[in-house]
Amino acid sequence: MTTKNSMKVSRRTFVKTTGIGVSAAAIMAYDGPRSIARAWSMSLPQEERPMLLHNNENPLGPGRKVVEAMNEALSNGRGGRYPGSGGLPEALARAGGIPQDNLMIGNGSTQLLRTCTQVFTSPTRPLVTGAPSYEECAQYANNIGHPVEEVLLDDHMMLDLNAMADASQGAGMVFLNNPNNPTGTLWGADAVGSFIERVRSESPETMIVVDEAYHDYVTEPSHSTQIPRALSDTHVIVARTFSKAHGMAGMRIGWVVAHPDAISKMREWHLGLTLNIPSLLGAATSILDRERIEEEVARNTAARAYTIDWFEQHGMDATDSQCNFIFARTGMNAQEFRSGCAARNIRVGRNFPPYQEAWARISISTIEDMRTATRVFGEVLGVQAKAEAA
Amino acid sequence: MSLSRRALFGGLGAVAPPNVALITARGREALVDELGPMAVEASVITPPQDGEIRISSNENPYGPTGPALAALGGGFMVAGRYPTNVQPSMRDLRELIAQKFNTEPGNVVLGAGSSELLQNAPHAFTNSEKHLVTASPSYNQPARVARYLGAEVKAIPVDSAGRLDLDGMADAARGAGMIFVCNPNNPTSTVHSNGDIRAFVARVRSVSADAVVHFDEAYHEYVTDHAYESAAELAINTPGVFISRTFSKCYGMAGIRIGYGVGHPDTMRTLSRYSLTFNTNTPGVGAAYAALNTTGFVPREQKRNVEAKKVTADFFRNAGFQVMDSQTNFIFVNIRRPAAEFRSACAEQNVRVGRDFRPMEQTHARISIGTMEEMQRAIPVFGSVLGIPTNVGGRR
Ligand SMILES: Cc1ncc(COP(=O)(O)O)c(C=O)c1O
Ligand SMILES: Cc1ncc(COP(=O)(O)O)c(C=O)c1O
Repeated sequence: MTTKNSMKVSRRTFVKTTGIGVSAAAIMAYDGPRSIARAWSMSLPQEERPMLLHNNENPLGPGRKVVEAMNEALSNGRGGRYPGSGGLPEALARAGGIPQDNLMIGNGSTQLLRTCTQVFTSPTRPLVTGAPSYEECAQYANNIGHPVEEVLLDDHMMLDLNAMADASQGAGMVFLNNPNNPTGTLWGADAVGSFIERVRSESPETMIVVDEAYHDYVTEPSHSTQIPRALSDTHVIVARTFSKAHGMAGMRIGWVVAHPDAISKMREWHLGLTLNIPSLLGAATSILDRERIEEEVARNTAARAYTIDWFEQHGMDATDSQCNFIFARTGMNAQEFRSGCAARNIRVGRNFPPYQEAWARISISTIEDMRTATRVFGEVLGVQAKAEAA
Repeated sequence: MSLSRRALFGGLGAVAPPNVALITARGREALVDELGPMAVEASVITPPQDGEIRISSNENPYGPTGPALAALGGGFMVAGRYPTNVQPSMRDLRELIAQKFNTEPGNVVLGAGSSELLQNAPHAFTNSEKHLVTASPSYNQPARVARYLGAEVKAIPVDSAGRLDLDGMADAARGAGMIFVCNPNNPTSTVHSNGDIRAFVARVRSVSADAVVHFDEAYHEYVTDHAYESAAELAINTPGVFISRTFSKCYGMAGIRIGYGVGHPDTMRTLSRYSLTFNTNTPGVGAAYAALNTTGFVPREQKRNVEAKKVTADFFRNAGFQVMDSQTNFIFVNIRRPAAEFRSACAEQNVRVGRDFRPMEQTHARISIGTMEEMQRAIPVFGSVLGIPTNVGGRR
């Protein structure tokens, strides 16, 4: 297992030095997964660096095999060459049976979500999205002057699928984030299926974009991916990313699955030249490294349960998050909570209106980090553990 | 794992012993100052060894420099973090670039390669009422984007020497949203002087108060013509003028995808509204930061390019073929036959040259400059394809 004996691999270098008369390549060896919850900084000592619980990143980063593959991507001057596809389409075909005609790769799922918004909405065909939900599409539509219709969450802080389907009549695109950021909750396969069928029959021109950024982290059994539907339905697109469970947020790589007709429309606009070669080779390795993803999910599930538990034990509650963050009712204004945490060197999520008066989004790091973090939350919120008190 | 092992890159113990000669050549001081313990040996990586000579995409055959490679290797380990959350961060890189240009971070935008800026600029500044002015032939991307958005494209032909017709382009700027000026121009490789550029901007302003002028300086670092100077200073001080640059060419990082724009803060603010949220990858930001701080690198790479270019251009000229005055890492040669024919004949001998550049594809081929060794192997191939006897390969 890569986690346990990291020191043993630490002496290896991963870029081959095949050239004649060429000095050894100067590349860092992978040192085993470790929390990088504290920002990597050249100037601050380790203990002064903030703990980052604000961007829903994977605190361990990419796995050993992925780091190896990314270093390998630089061998023989390849970093100086414009990248090809880096074997990623083939790897996705192997991992998930996705034909290349159904696939598009982007600079994070961000670029793909924007391409969808650019291509499928217009000044007369709005974007429909939940609120709060992931804002990328809505912000971009605003930027380019395409109208946005936001549908508030329901009383259970779930995406209001009925209201969203209603609003989708005549819309260019409806954005369904499942599970939803920032609430962390999801709709099961049946509910999503009925939603899609309803939109498909009542507004056949509307593109349905299902953002499954946190798919790998889901533990709720009623969930399933909409990729199979996206392979055949002309109007369903599924977006995925290597930024979350795969630990590659900094590499900027994501993908969508869609019908070839939708893909070719997107290609007319999409800028293909945004992908770096290490990310392509790294992603191709990561998608086939199931063992590493399972370890990561187990880590997250335990640390997430620990953190939700802590809030519940202290008289607060949290949504049933299926992601690598939680949405907790601290009872404190989010800005105030954030400043309190920041003063103690922990950064937590921003405001998510209309829940900014009492709710906070907190990304999940390692369980050790979460023990430190909950102690800090206790101080900021002025609460005492029942367990500790007892 | 102990704290010290977890600090910074953790794997520092694994760094190979430094090659003293190379470090001397590449300036270890700068490296150590900027990168601290991450500083490692500056190494040279060999180009592809599989026999193919790829001189089709204007790449630096050596790839990233040692300090940039080291930064990438370190960056991979913290690649779980978005590029705002690792130092050097996007912000740090913008600050360093601003410092190099004697200006403020607000004058700088980053891109996923300069391509992203070439995509975003026509999006920001052209529309169905405000056309794009470009040259023909020139780098095509802005024209493609403008057309997609329903903007008219006015492409002004270059002159017979391959130089942009700046007067013609300025005249066409009346009512335009944006003028794209590729300086040096790809594929013709020619450059305009700073005097020409200043006069051009003044002339544009006399016909249009607000058309944005975009100077693409992707090949800036390769220019040796003394009359040339970057339009950066002009851009910083003139609303509606900006330059773009890239780490893909001279810096050898085409596969890493980092570029940037510099201009007036108002222009940059508008442009950045279209930027991808985290457009630059975390290791790439570190690598660009390290590359900018590697003293002495640019002149060395420039010199290497000039030498390999001279051998190649001399071969064509001696055989009676015209070569445009190249200020880049490629040459544009009048081969007096269709580029496609030449290209496939070269490809049969494992030499890949540039694609068609309309409207000159019936007569001209673009050939990128690889290593000296690659060019010496490519020249006999060119000779055999064009029916020129050669002994250049053996002569050195
Ligand atoms: C729901 C959702 N989609 C997409 C993204 C964008 O991720 P990336 O561009 O890194 O793939 C995020 C990032 O936080 C997210 O939460
Ligand atoms: C003139 C010019 N501009 C921009 C680019 C794009 O470069 P990049 O996106 O790699 O920075 C190129 C690449 O060939 C070019 O020739």
